[in-house]
Amino acid sequence: MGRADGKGMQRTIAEINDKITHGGAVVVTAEEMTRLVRDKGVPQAAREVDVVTTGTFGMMCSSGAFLNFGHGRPRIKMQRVLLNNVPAYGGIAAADAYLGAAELRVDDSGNQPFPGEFRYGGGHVIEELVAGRKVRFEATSYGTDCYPSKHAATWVSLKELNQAYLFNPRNCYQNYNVAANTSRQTKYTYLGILKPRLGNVSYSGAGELSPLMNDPMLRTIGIGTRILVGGGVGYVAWEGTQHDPTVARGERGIPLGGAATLALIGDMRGMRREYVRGVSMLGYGVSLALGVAVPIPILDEDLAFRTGVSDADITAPVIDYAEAYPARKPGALGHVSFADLKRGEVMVDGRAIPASPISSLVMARAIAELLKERIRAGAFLLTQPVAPLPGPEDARPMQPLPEPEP
Amino acid sequence: MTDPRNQIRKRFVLVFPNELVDKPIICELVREFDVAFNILNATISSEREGRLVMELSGASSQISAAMEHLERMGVTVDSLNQEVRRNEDNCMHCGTCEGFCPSGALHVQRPEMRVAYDETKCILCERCLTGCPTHAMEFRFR
Repeated sequence: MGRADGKGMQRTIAEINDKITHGGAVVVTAEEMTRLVRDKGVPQAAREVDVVTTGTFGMMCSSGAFLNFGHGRPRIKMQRVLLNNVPAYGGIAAADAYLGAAELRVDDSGNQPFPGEFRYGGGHVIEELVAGRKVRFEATSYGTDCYPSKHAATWVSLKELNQAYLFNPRNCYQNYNVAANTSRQTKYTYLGILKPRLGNVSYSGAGELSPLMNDPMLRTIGIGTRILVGGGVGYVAWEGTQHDPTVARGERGIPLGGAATLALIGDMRGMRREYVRGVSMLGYGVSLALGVAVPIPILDEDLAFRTGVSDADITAPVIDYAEAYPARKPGALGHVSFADLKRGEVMVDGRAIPASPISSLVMARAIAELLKERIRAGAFLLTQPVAPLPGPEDARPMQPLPEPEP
Repeated sequence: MTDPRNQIRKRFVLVFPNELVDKPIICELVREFDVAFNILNATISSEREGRLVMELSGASSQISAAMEHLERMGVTVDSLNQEVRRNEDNCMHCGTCEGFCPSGALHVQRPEMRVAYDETKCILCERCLTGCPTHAMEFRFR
């Protein structure tokens, strides 16, 4: 299989950083690495390449921003906070709030009339802040001796905020469902609009360019790994919510479904609007489409082999979003490869079905290229993780919500 | 036959009062005026008023004559001055639209995976106005 056996090329992160600092580090994107490994083989690719940059860009609902607005005069303990009429969580210190990407405007009519349009929400406020626009701020409170004011309203923008950083509890899902619809009605889902009677399938993910597909056993990605979040510098903060590396894997160690996730942190001030986009999913809600790029240091032949993964090696389960998914019933309609998904047609139940993405490979490539250029320019150094993320042996499988007690 | 140099292509919105809805009017256009048509969108309201969005191709003079004929019969004719445009700045090339665009006007170009918009294929169904996650598709009057 061309796997590393303890012999062959070895290099350290310190050696790679030395090359980055002095110029001469060889950096390629994960798509380029796939071709290089195919053409030259694992040992040669491992010798030639120091760093592989991966990228993904898609809707990541479990994202949000911690914001500090500064104190007003007189002071106010900001209990209820609205930003462009979108509520932010104020149940933390006086001038702090957390704005969730999937939060709706207070005057949103929800999914009425169906399918709801959800034209504006938390993700859009985050995009506007990153774009440097002014956002309407309103806070109310109950008044205390130390925080007497009960109401404050003004305009804020990124440059006035003391701190503004995304803290995203779950990004970069390692693999994900492909959505289909076996019913007779159109279904409006977070994976897009699904035509009846298996009329189409939709998917999210960058396949062979995706960060966690290129380091499937989390050898180099851990707590403290420096990455790009929204085009600016960020870090892996923790395992993401629903992190479950115990799922079944194929022969290359590629998970056959869901699996690992990352909690990410990133300073909004370094971000670019093109990689941080508020989105509306018809009939579902609002979210944030986010670009993330992760560097993988090629420390040995095993990592060259891993980053040589191709779309044909990655399969995802096709799940029925009319019945199985909402009812949380097990079972897939089939498994399809990313090669077929990207080609635009998959076989399900012996039928050829059109496949279209809801995540942007164009933007995933752009952020992987951005990271490549920054490393080549000596402006981005790699990090050794402070601690590893839970792997297949030490993580616990994901649990469902407990059934109600009788 | 008409001189191909004078061939034009024009879009119209035709509104049929309910007494004309079941008459073979479009068929007559083809026979008597030698124009080709392409129906982009057709609806009949609860009052049985018909609304047809249609592209006609043929000689300019024949198309004008055909429209005059329709107006004499009681059909309201408007040249189509609305269009769906893409705000390039807002499109993130996610591909969500390919899943619901019925005419293939919005489609993913493979393998580069950019979303292309072919306005000539747009049938003005307006699904993209609400289905595009970043509201990149806009309705405009020409």
